[in-house]
Amino acid sequence: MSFLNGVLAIGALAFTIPLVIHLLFRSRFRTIDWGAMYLLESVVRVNRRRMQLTQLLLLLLRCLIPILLAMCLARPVWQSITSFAGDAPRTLVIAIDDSRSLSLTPPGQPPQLERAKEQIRIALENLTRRDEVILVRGSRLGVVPAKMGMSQALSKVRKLDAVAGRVSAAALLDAGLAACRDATHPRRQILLVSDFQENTVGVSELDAAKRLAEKMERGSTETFVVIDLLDLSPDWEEVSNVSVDEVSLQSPVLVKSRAGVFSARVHNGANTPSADLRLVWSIDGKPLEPRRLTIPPKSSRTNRLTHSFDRAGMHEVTVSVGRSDQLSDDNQRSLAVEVISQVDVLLVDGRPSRTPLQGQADFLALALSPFAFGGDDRPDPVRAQVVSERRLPESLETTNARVIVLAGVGKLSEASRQELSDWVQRGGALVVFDGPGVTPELFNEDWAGASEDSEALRFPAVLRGVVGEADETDGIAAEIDLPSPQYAPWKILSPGDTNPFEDTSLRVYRKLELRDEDNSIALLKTTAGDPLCVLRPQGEGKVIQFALSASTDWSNLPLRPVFLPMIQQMVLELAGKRDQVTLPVGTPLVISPDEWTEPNVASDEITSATDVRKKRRSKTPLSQPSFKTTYSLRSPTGERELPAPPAGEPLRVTTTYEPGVYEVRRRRVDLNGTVPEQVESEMRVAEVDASESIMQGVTDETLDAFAAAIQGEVFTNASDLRSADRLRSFGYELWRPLLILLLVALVLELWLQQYLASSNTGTRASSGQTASTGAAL
Amino acid sequence: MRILDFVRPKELSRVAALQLLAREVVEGYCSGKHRSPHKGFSVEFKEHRQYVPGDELKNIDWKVFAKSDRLYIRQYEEETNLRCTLLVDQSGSMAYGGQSGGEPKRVSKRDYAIRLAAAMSYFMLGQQDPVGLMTFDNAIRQEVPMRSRASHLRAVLTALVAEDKRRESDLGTVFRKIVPKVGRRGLVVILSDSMGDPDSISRALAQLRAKNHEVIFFQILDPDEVTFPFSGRVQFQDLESALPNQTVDASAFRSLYQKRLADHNEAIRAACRRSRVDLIPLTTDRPFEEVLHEYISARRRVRG
Repeated sequence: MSFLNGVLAIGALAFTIPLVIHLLFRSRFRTIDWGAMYLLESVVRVNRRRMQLTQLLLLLLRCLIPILLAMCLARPVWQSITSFAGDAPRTLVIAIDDSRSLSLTPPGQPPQLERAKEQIRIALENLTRRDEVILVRGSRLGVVPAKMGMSQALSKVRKLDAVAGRVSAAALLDAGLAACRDATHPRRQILLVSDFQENTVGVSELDAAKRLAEKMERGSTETFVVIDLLDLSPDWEEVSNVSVDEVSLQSPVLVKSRAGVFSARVHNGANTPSADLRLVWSIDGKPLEPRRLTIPPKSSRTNRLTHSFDRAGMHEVTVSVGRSDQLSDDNQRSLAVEVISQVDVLLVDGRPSRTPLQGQADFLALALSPFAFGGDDRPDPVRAQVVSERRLPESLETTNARVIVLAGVGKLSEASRQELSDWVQRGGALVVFDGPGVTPELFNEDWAGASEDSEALRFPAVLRGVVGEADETDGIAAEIDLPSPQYAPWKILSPGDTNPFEDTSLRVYRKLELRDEDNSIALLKTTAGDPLCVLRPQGEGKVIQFALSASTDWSNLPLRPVFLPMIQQMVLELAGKRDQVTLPVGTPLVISPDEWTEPNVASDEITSATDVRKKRRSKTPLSQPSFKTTYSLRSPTGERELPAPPAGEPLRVTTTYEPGVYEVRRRRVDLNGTVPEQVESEMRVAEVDASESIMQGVTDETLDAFAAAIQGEVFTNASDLRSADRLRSFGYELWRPLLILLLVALVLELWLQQYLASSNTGTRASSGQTASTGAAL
Repeated sequence: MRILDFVRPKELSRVAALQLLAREVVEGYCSGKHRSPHKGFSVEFKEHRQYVPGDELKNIDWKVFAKSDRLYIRQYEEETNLRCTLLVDQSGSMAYGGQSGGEPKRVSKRDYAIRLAAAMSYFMLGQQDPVGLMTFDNAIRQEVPMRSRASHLRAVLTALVAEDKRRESDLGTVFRKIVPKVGRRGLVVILSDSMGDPDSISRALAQLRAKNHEVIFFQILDPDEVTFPFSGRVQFQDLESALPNQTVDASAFRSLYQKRLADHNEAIRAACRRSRVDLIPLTTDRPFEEVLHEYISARRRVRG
């Protein structure tokens, strides 16, 4: 046991005062010649022992009172067998979950963020000058945290904001433990500050926490890490929030001057309906006509926008709801979309014909560019180019096609196969139609890439024999079933579950045998279950294999009205941008060099990188010494210059902590002056996960389980934490029980004294009464 | 025979003072009262009773017979002299006269008893009633035979002031010694602080009552003995030197002592009630007139 104010313990010597008084009192007495000794002697004889004990007890109490008082003032602390750190310097790692939910302002309370700052401030006040603080933010888990003193930490905490996406408690703890490894002092403490929203601690977090705990146990025993959880959860039931949960593009691809469909999902998390909610779509920052929306309580509503873009390139689509609720940050959400000028498709005809619509790819060209075929001025979304097998290698050199269709191709040169294999691996989409001229061996074998280390192209199905007779014009080999509901582009083919292929007569089809059923999707099947169209991702691209011919040789499908939307939707979906343009907040923004255009392409306007991506196969090196390239970033926090990445390296922007649009511009200036200045831009949108808007906390059981897994303690305010911390550092402070003991001793002393006095008085009164009664006789 | 033959000059002065005091007390009490013309005897008519054979013929009221032709006996109330024996406790415990300090010094219980006895003697002798006296502690110390002469007062007073030795008392034993000496039926007045075994006292009182004596017990206590006003550490020395000294914290024992006193008084009261003895508890701070009044009241009850 030790004392916090040891000097005051000397006051305990005051116990000698009553003792001395008692002893002095004992040695001094007066003598009385007493007459009624007959009565007194018997009383004294019987009660002497008891009275002595009572007097002794009174003396002890009177001695105890100053001792207890001095002990209380000296603040003793009880230290059990385990050694306490005392005031040894320590490293406090504050791991704060600064996700968007912390921006919440619960009804009738200060903002959660301010509360968190206040609690951290209280926790920091407990530190001494020798202690060290490391601040780990959930939004910046990748950043190496800096070590700082208390005052610097306070200033950092004051500047905290909460705009990040979902933060996993286990990941945050892991980052805290990693920070602990760099700590200066052997005594370490992690303070996990969070509102413990439902998405913070899930089942995976519990497992991760157990793994972390095991790792800690295996770790060094010299250092001792204490983990505390500061639970700042508000009363979630009281919180009402309206949020834009999702903005998405419904159309497979956006083509210039063609309408695209967008959808936004707005959620009302309140217990009351949100009537007449004002919803505004904005395109590139320009708001459209506001809309009105009414959402019942605890439900979502989807709002759609059909919009066509006049200009190709990256565009920002934003949805905002005008409502001042308790969490306003999630009332707006953006989407970056790429609008392309036209989709180029290369059609390889296996059996070209001079007669119209007799070639294998003629119906496909018609279906893809109907306006051009009909002499209409309106632009087609797809520009189809038909080549023969022999012309394919040249076309592959020059084409900008996103999709290549092999229609009834029976043979291909080795070079073409290698080129196509690499093209698919890089992200191209290859569609193969069967036909009379197709040799199964060509597609049953793997197509190796140009280089040895590139992956070979393997088709999703093995081509077997042909079912049905082509000559029998009335014969039907099989009926085509409804298209797969998993394939979104074909959902429009079968409105109301009517079979769009009802009037299609399939005379011949090839038997397909799926190679890899797990990764392949059968998009079309016969009613008997034979696959007619199979999709399989391959590298970064996709391969679709049809068991049908694209001509009228095997079926009348190309003549049916369903053929045109079916082919168009499929091609547009395959041509759609697959680059990730919407990132979670905090994820580094990476733009690889091949996303920029080549230096020899002249352009005086801002163009989309994608439009000029076709030039990437050029053998010209990426950077010319004659060019000066500068990069700049326009982000929600402002505009700044970016350092140029080393040649061949991607451009990285790691500071995407704020949600919003991040636009990187590349400016190229030819030092020789032969090529005009070239400016390109790439756009990304950083958005917060929609789960941050779900105002639901983890259950107490889950939180307790999490705390138990990491052997941590849960606190709801920093004052409790400070008390517990003091207890852990110094042991149990005894002044409270001592104070209670002191009060008890005081009361007991008073009672004992009063008891003796009152019994005397009472008896005297009664005896006086007796005497007077006797006298009255 | 002169009084100086029996009493020393110092004692004589005390006797004189006592006599003076007794006269003052009694005359103060009796002033304004009508004195009876019949002294020593009485022929007060009480009632008529029908004659029955065997009655003395001399008692027949012939005047009534003449009027009513019936024989009636005329009955008189016989008023005999009241034979009073004073038993005065002279033991050591009676010497206590208050030591709590602060207030004017009170008389000791012994002095109080002496004065009271003197006053009563004066009063009774003034009514021609015979008075005897016995002083005692653990044995009979002085014994004055019963006389009704006025000059007998001096003998009584002399005996009262005679001796002042602190001896322990044993009331029960000494009472039993006294009983055979009291003689014919009469009034016995006991002046004592009753510091003794209540059972023993009870038996002695019963013996007195068995001899048809009327007994009045004046229990004389000092106010200190009732209230026990001491505090702090006090060494109590026994005035009778029979019991060891006690050094105690007086305030702590006050309640216990008072309870013991109450029990003792209750036991004495019960003993008196049982033997139909009039118990008059007194404290030495009470005026003699009041006490004399109590005595008269008690005597009236006895005679009634």
